[in-house]
Amino acid sequence: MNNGESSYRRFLAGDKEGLRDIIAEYREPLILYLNSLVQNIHIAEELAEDTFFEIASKRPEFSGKSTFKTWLYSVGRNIAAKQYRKSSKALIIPLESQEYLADEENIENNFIKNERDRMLHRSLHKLKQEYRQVLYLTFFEEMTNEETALIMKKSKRQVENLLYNAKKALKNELERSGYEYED
Amino acid sequence: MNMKTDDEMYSSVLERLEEYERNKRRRNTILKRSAAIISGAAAVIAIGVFSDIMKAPEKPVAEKSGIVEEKSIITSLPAVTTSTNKTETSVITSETTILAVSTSTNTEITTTNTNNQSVVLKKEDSTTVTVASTSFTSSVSEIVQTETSLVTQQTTSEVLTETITTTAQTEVTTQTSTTTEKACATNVSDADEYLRNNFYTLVVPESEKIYTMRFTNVDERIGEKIDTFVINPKEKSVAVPETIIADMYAINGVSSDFAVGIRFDIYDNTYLFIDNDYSPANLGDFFKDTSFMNETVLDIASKKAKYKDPFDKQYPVNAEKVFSFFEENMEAPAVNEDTIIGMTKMYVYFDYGTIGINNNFYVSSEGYITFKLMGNNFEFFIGKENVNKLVDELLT
Repeated sequence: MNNGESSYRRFLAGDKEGLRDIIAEYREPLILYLNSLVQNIHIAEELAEDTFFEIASKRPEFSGKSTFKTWLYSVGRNIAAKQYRKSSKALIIPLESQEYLADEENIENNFIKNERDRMLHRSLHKLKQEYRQVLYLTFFEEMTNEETALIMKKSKRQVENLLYNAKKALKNELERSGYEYED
Repeated sequence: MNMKTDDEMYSSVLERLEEYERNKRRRNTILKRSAAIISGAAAVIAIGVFSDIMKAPEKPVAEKSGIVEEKSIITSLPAVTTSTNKTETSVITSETTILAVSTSTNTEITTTNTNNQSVVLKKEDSTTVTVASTSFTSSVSEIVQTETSLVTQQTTSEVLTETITTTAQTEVTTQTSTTTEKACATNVSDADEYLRNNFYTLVVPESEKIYTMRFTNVDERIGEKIDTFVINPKEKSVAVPETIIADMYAINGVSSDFAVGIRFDIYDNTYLFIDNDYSPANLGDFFKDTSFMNETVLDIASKKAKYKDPFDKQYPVNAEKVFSFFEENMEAPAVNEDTIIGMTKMYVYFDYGTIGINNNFYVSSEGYITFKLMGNNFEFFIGKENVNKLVDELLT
């Protein structure tokens, strides 16, 4: 099975199909992750493309200290932050972002198969950005706290605290919307 | 708007990659060509200099004219008077000295100090001139020593009077050089400046501070002088002189941690410069350093009347309420630039005293307030409740 790392190595060795494999495997989850940062599926898509372009053009070294996915998401997060620094307004999302929900649902349906998980994913929108990010990485990407910490540039302890608070906020949000859940 | 498929994104990335590599190749080609041209030019100059050196007499002949020119330089020094009484037997030693001088010229010239070569003397004395100028740049005392050693060995003082004009010319050159050296040494500190993207960035190596220029004249606001810099712009162009003197001033009422005024000797105005690394700890510090409460005149607020409105609408701002709201939130902490602040809920535009117009602050759905002041962003966390309060209650 392709784990991303071997595709990246193939690409570095000159096989462009390696890049196609990376995009096929990580495009949707990366867009959804970046969407948890910027709350706009089209900006998230652009940032995902920028992330693939970054690794294709700059060819940064993948040291293997984390999984390829963790590394790729870190690159994506850095690009989102860099974009933000470049123009603070670039990532400020217009309030009419509702119109993008249909696109988001499409990609969500492809990536998150379970209806209950999809509802949970939608509830994340109402939480603050750090909560969205930590919940997305932990529950939907099933990353460990260490991996989440690496991507979010936080300590493991900070991620644990953040996760605790995020769960509490999500629980309140679900209760408010009448959702029945199991702990 | 449709989202891209895997294949479409792959094609798009490949297209961008090809464009990127094309540009990279083009840049490399330009660089290589430039390097070739520069090295060619350098080679031509080097050959010119080398041939000049080769044309110089290998060993100065003790002909009358040659010795006379040597004397012409030496006579400018006080030591001449002490050395003119020597006997004819020292003529031979004089020749030896000149030989030594020409050797030192050969070595010094590799330091490419060509400025002083513009002193035009007769061919016979070119060796001496070069020595005088090159040694000067390395050490003044050395020159005196060299020249004195020549002087002490000058003996044939038959035609001293004939050469006084040449001597004077050399002296002028020497004096000018000395003045420049002193000017550099007496300045307070060095600074580096270069043009980038149509605005200046001023780098002060000593304090490691970087200031960005805003084209705002603060002549009427300047206070105490803080520092003076000698700037040697790295970017060479016709419009930028080789040396610029800049005086840095505090701006009355504003902390110099945030901004200073700089007056360049090439411009008539004193321009506002913002310290790039200025980062207040909280909202209170920011207001204090920028004198925000005293300087600011709130203009209008801009937000959507309803959630789904496509365009913002404008509202008058109740300045009194907004300022008292700020008073209550002085402890709001600053946040780092990596924070993604969420959706903007409202903009408020304001004029910043006499320094800048069309600044604004905006609040976001995640509880952040961002001040965009003189082109820089300063963010603080005030909480979602406070954001809602600002948006809902503090407009007139």
